[in-house]
Amino acid sequence: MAALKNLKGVFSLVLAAAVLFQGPLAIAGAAADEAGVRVQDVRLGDGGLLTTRVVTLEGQPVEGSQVTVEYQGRAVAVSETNADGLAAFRGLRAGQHRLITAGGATSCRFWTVEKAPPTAVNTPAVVSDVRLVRGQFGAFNLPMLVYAGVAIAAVVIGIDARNDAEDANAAALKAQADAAALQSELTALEQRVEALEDASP
Amino acid sequence: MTWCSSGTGLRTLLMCVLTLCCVPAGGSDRWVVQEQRGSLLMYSEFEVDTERITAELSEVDSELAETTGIRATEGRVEIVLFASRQSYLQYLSASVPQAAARRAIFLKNGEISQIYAYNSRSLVVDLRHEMTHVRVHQHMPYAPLWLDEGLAEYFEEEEAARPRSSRREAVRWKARVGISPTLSTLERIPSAESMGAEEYRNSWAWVCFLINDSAGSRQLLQGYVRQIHRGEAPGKFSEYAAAENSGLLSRANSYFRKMTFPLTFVSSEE
Repeated sequence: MAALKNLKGVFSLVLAAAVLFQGPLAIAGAAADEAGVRVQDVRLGDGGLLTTRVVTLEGQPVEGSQVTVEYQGRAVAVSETNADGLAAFRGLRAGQHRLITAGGATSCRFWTVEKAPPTAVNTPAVVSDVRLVRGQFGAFNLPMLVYAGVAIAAVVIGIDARNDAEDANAAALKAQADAAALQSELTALEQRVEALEDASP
Repeated sequence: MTWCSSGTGLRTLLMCVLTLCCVPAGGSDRWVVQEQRGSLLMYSEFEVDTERITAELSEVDSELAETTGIRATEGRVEIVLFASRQSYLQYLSASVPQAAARRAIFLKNGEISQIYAYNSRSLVVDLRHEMTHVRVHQHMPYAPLWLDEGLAEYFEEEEAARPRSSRREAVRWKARVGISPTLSTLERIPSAESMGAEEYRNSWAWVCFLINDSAGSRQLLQGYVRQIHRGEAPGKFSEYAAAENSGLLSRANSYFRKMTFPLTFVSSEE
C-alpha cells in the first residue's frame, strides 16, 4: 500500500512536471534568469561601506538571509540580513562583484563616492526569488453560483412553506376548536329546549 | 490495485508517463489561435478578437507609462486563453494551484511572463489586470504587493469607467464614517493569498489617490517606481513618502471621502 502511495506520488510529480514543462508553460524555465543579467552600479560609502536589502518579488524584506560578496569567484565578505532585510559590509573595494543569496545572485559594479556614475544606487536591492504568481481576484464559478442560488432559494422556500403549513395547521386547529365549541353550545341549547318542552304543560 | 502490482501494469504506467512527457500538453491542435504581435504571443482555444485585445493592452501600456513611468519592455509575454473555466483549471491545476481561486493568472519565472485566462464576459478586464502585473514586473525588479495589485485593479478598468467603479462608493462612504484604508496595514500583508476583496479595494484606493490627487502625489509614486527600477531598495512606500514629502499622505483621508478622478472625454459618435 505504501509502495502504491509512493508510486502515485511519483506519478503526480511527473505529471505535474510534464504539464509544467510542455507547451506554453514550458517556456517558464530556470535558464531565463541568466538571459536577463544586468550589472548594477553601486556607490560605496566611506570605508568601503555597503548596505544591501534582500526582498522578495513582493517587496517584503527577508530576515536572516545570508549575503555573500564575491569577487572573481571568491567570497570576500559575508553578512546576514536583519528584520528589515538589510545586510551591511565594510572594507569593500571598487570593481565588479556579485551579491549572492540563497535565491540567486546580483551582479554589481562597486564605485567609490567620487567616481560613481549618477545612476549608481546606495542600497542595492537583492531579490530573493524568481517565481511569482498573481491572480485576478474573484473566480466567479457559474455552476457554483447556480448551486448556491438554488440552495438559498430552496432554504427560503422551505422556511416559507413551513411557515405557511404552520399557519394552516393553526387555522385548522382553531376552526376545529370553534366547531367543537359551537357543537357543545348547540347540544346545550337542544338539552335546554328539550327540558323546557318536557316542563311545559 | 492489481494492475499496479503486476509487471504489465507497471509497464502501462511507465508508457503513460513517457507519453505525457513526450507530447506537448498543448498540442498544436488545441490552439485555434496562435499569433505573434511583437513580443506578444497569443494562444487561444477559441476564436478571439486579437486586434481588440492588442489595442486594449496597448492602452494599458500607454497609460501606465504616462501616469507611473512604468514602461513596456521587449520581454516576451505569452497569453494563453482557454475556452472554459473547466479547461483552464484542467490545464493549470497541477502546476499552478492558485488558479483555482482566480479568474486569471500571471506567472513570472525569471524573464518570462505568462498570462492564463478563460473565456468570460470579463476577459478583457482580466487581461488588462494581468498585463499590468506583467509590465510592473518587467520594469521593476520587485514590487510591493499593495502597489502591484492596486495598479492592476486600477488599470483593469478603462479610463472612462473608473469614476463609475463600484469600489468608489464603498471607499467614499466608509471614509465618510471614519474608516479609511491605511497604508501601513496594506504594507504588512505578507502574501497575495492573504488578500481579500477589502485589501484589493484598499490597494486600489491608494493607487487612485497617488495618481489622481495632485501632481505632487503622482510625482511621489513615479519617484518610488523609478528608485526600484534603478535597483535601489527604498523600503516601504510610507517611509519613502515621509522622507520625500511629509505632508502629502495626510491628505489621503480627504481624498478617500471624495474619490475624484480627472475629467475624461468620451466620444459620443454612435
